[in-house]
Amino acid sequence: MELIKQIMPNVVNLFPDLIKACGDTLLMVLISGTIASIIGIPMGVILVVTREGNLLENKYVNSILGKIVNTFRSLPFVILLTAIVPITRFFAGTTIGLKGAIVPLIFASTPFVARQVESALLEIDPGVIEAAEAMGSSPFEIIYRVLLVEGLPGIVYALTITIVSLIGFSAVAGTVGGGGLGDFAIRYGYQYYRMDIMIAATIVLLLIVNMVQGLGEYLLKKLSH
Amino acid sequence: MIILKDLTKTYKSKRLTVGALNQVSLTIDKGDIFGIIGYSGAGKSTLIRCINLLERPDSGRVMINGTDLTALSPQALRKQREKIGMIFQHFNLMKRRNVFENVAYPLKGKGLSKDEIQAKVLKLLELVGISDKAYSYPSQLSGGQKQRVAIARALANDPEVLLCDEATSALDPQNTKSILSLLKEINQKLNLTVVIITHQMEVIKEVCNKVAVMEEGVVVEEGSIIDIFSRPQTKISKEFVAHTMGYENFEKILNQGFIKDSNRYELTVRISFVGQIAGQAFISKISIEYGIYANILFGSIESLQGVPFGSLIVSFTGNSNKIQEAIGYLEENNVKVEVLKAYGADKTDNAQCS
Repeated sequence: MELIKQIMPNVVNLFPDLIKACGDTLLMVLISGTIASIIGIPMGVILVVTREGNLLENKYVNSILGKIVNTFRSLPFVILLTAIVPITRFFAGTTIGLKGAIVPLIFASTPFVARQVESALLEIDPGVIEAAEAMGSSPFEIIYRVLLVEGLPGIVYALTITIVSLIGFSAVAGTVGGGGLGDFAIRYGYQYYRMDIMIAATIVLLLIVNMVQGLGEYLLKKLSH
Repeated sequence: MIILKDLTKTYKSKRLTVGALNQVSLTIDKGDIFGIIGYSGAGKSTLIRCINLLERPDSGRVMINGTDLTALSPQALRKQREKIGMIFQHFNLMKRRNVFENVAYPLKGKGLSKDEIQAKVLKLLELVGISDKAYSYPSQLSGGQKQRVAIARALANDPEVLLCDEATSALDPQNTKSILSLLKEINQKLNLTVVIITHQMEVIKEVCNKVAVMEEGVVVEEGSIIDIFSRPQTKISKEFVAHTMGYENFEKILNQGFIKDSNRYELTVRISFVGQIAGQAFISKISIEYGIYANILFGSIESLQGVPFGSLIVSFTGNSNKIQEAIGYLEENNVKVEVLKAYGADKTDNAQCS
């Protein structure tokens, strides 16, 4: 304890803030990740089934949705964060703090989830889908009994990657007053030249990322046969 | 009964239009094991996919037991598809479901209780001989076992028709044999109509009672398996038969002309025996009775669905009239004779017997 006090005096003083920042980050990631999954997974499914030659082929839906996804995917997060301020205000009522950060995080990660899920579902052997069609399954049945079941490991992996990158995004959101570990590191560390705060925040972030990645890989292993 | 009428299908890409089916009509009777053979690209895969409308033909009709599938709504078509089982070259099992769950897939949502599904699945697994693997995953099975699971799954809704899309092409010869005998067994047990497409004549020979030969989107020849084997009409059928009977190389040699004695009349023929007559000593008989020499160049015997089918390539030398008489005698006795090559001085009347 004495040693830690010596190496990282500020961290010890600001320990309750560090814990709170940690909780804020997790909360931000959890909420935006959940909402992004709820919207993004169906978007990914739609991107797959409306493709040419697929279950519910629809050129227009596919191309429009694809373009929307690409637009949000290609915007750097810092730009997105500031560009959608009016939207953030409309949904969250504020553009700062936890609530203000969640909206742009959802906007940034939903298209990410959609593309990841799309590529996971495209991995499924088209023959399996054909077999289900031959057995008389409806397109809707094929989506939830074949695509989502066979694609589950891929989807889990996609969500793992999404959460990891959300942790990164959330740190960026912190710089514009979003709260969380990024905010903590910048405000208490960087701006006061307190190196130990920076290091502590980094270590916590690394731990979270590794835990998420490990959990994702564990689930993936469990789900694959 | 399956009636395919004037099926036409073309694939269009930006620059190229490829005709996959051109006015194909076929009638497949209930209880048939109907083989459709052709080289890759002949359109046979498209044809079998048209039977359950996985591919929709550009024109033509698909009638199964009096129902025109092409006229049905999507829902009604799905209902019909439950009565048409299908198995595939690469089995197409769901990796994340075990054997039991794969077979149970088509039974779910049909108003069956859990116990009913369980009983049905176990019965099917027993039928295809894979009960001991019920809780294995497809990745733990061999190709032959996977195809057995696929067959059980295809039979789950008590279909009247089973479509087999190159179902043995990914299997080794031993597994091919066992899957084919399984198909035959269920054809007899369940009075199931089976449609098999393949590029292997061995498959046709093993199980089919009727066969259609396809080339470039057209059915060029069709008939009972014995007919096709004993008297193939088209070049492609001849190739398939020659390959199966093992004399394809022989014909090549024959055409190069290894028998060169232009002074004698020599007629090389292929003689086919079907059924019990395959056991009779026709060759020595005609040799003695007609005073001609018979030189047996090649011979093989195969079993076509349990019927012995013999094929001999014989070169006759001697008096040309006597040879014609001998051939006439053979044909009277239901032995089929096909002239492969006439050689030597007297060629005038060899055209008659072909």
